Amino acid sequence: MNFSNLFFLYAFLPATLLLYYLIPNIHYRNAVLIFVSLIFYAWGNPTMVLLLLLVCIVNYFLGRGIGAAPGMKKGKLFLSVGLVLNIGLLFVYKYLAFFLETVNLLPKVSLPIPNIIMPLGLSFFTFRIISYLLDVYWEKVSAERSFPVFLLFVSLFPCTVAGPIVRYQTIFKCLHSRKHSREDLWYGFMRLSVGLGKKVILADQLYMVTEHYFSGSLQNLSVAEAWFALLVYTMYVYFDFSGYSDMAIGIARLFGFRFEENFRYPFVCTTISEFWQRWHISLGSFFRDYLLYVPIFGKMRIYGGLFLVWFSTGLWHGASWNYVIWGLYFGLFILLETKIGKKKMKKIPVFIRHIYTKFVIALGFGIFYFTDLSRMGVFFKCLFGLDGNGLIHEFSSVYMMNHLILVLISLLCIFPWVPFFKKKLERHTATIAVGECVCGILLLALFILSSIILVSSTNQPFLYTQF
Amino acid sequence: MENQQQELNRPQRNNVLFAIRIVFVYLFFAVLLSGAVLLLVLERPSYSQDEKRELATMPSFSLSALYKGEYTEALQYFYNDTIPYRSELKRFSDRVLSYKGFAQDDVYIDIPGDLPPIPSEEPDGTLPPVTTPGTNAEEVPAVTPSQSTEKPNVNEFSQNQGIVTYKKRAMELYWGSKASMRDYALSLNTLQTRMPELNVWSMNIPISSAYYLPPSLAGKYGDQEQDCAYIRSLLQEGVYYVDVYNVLKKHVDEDIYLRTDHHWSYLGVFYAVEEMMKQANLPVPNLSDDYVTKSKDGNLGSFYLYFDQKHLVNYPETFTWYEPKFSFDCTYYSYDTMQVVKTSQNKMFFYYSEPFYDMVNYGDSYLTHVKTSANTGRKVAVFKDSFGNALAPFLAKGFDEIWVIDLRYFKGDAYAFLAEKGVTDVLMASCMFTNAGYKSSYYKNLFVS
Repeated sequence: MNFSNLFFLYAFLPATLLLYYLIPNIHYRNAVLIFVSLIFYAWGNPTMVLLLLLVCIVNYFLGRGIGAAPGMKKGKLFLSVGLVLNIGLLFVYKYLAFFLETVNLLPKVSLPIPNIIMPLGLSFFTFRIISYLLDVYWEKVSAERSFPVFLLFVSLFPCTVAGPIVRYQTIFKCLHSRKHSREDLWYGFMRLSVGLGKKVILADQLYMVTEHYFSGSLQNLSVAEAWFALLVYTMYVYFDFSGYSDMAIGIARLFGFRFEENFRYPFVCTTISEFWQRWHISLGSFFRDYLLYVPIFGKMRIYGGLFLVWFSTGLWHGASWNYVIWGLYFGLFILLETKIGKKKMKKIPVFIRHIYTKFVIALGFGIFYFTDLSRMGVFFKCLFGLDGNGLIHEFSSVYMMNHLILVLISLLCIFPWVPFFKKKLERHTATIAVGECVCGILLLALFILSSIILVSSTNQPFLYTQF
Repeated sequence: MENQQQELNRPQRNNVLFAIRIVFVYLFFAVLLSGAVLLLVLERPSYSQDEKRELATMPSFSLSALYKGEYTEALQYFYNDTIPYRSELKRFSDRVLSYKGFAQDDVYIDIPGDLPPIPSEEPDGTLPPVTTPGTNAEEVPAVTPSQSTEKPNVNEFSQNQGIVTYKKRAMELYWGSKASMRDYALSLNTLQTRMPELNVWSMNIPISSAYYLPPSLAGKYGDQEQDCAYIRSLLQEGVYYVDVYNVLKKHVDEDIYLRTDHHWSYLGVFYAVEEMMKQANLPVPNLSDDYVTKSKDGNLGSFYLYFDQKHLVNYPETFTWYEPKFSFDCTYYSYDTMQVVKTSQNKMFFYYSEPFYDMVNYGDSYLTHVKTSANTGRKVAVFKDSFGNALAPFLAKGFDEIWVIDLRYFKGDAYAFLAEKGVTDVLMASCMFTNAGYKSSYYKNLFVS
């Protein structure tokens, strides 16, 4: 099940909210959340819920083991077992086929490729568990004593399927006791509406434009079309994923959980390093905190750590070489910026930094889209006019104009206008009250409109559910 | 200064904001819960006329389906697919989404994936000689029921090779293959050679882009005028040619094509039949004397319903049709069994819902036989694609009997059929996409193979 779905919005969510708020006790409320989370997870493939339960049981005891002997040999052993099991699980389900396919490229090797179906949200919940085990080992948090609470942490439905990678230390207080204010409900609905709007009104429509250009052989794309398609695809990925994150944060808040932000207007960045501090923050911070300083590269620690982080970031997104190239591509620019230094970077005029970052980011998403490297090559040839298709076809502009309002609105929405106006309005009670009313009406309208559009739209699954 | 004094302090301000937010929280809850209740209690549709399909049905529960996840998926699909007022909500959302851009020079363009290749000049080639089989038409067995399980469906609409909307009129970009045109011509020539006693007619029906393309696109793709002329040049002496291209060209300022549908209008059909009847020395239909003109506003045709041209929701059109005043009987046969499925008297128009073009004789669904009181001694068999559906009401003025046969679904022996039914005329009525595209092989299969 995904969030941008009428069944979820008008059956699953209201039923869960009703059930949840009719029960006064936190323990029973947690039980309700565990119950609905397991149903949510089991929806399309019930057998996978058994795997989730097994993972929870094993890691619960490993966590307890680590917690009983943190920093000691025994704790280290439990941690090692935990890391091997979780990474092994991820490897088998997500990367084994890819690994074997790669090995088969060697001469005279022909290993059978297993057809393994990856459990939904595996990349997300294994990372959350890994962060938990490491935090317990490093004594940042205590091991969770209650199995139901640990099960709730792993299975909590707002973040199981497509993130964000919510860490135990972020929500452990909420797992045990949480207050439910009406402000939380307001905030939750607000984020839910914004996320739904981003997904249904922007991302799904941008996706159709993207497919218009990318689904064919690409041979006839003019330079202008290729860039237009790349711009649209970049915005599509942003709205799809940040829309999902908004919905996850909003839904979690409806039940009293406070998740950290996963996107902070990434396109306002002036360096690639800053972009990654604003884009998929939960993943970036995971690699920064748990992988960057792994002491396995000796004197080459900086380079080795960077390589490991960006190789892993790429590979995390999918079992395909284009994702690895994509990760390393960003790693290269971050290394470059590190070498130049923050001070020197700041001396470069802002508009040049903006052009540089948007150019690099957009090209990066060109790599991200094409799992077929030969098609990627064709596309990049079109992008730089090396295919002889010319700058623009005679009627390329017609299709672009047909979608111009969508693209302009999307462009507007990637910048932080709302916080800007909110700050302006906050000066007077009257203006902020009017602003709040307008905001409420718009959000309600957005929610209703998105729901109506869902009636006719082909249901596009969230891009990040495949990771 | 006064304003500043009137400003509320922080706790008071927070109270105001809190009150506003509470109102909206209740409103949100009201929307969610009332939505949930309404979607539960309101009657759910089972068929979508717009999409021409049965909607999902409530899945039956079984443990194995539950175990495989099929039950839950099907339940969710049923819930989402059968939302009450689906059609109305869909149109509303299409209307909203149609504002996602501008129509530069009044043009919308939808060419999926690649731009279609601009056709290179194909060599004319030569027509292979007409062959006659060892057995003549009289000796072949009588018509056999079709072995085909293929049913008229909307698959033909998935062949979107590029749609342009110009001045609120949607149309397909056209290009044709000379090899296909030769197959088409060969089919007619073969029929005429094998059954010389028949009057064989060719009606090449241009698609609307022949006349209405925006100037920026005119001449960029296939030239229907040239292709019609090419087909005509291939037809042997004795095959009659109805020059629909030039007939319709005289009426381009009238509504001879539908604006939201890929078909021609019934007025366009009338002009084409009028021309044919003149050539055939048969009574020419007269719109005002022989027909009752009816119309319905707000029509949205196939371009909107099946080709996903959402912006057309803003340009509904008036659909006009002509019901004969004279008497006739219709019989409808199943293509699968060749058994009678339905009959009607003095009624050829059904399905008064979109797409309206399909209202005549149940669209492509049945092989149709019309018996009239024309008393001219002429019987016609029309082999057609969907463009030929609308001919029957006008042909009925001059022919005693009309057989309307869809060349895509008829799998019997065409020669035996024609002989058995004693027809005097055979009319091939199909659009240029059929005659110059892969569908011309249907003609070849029927008349050459």
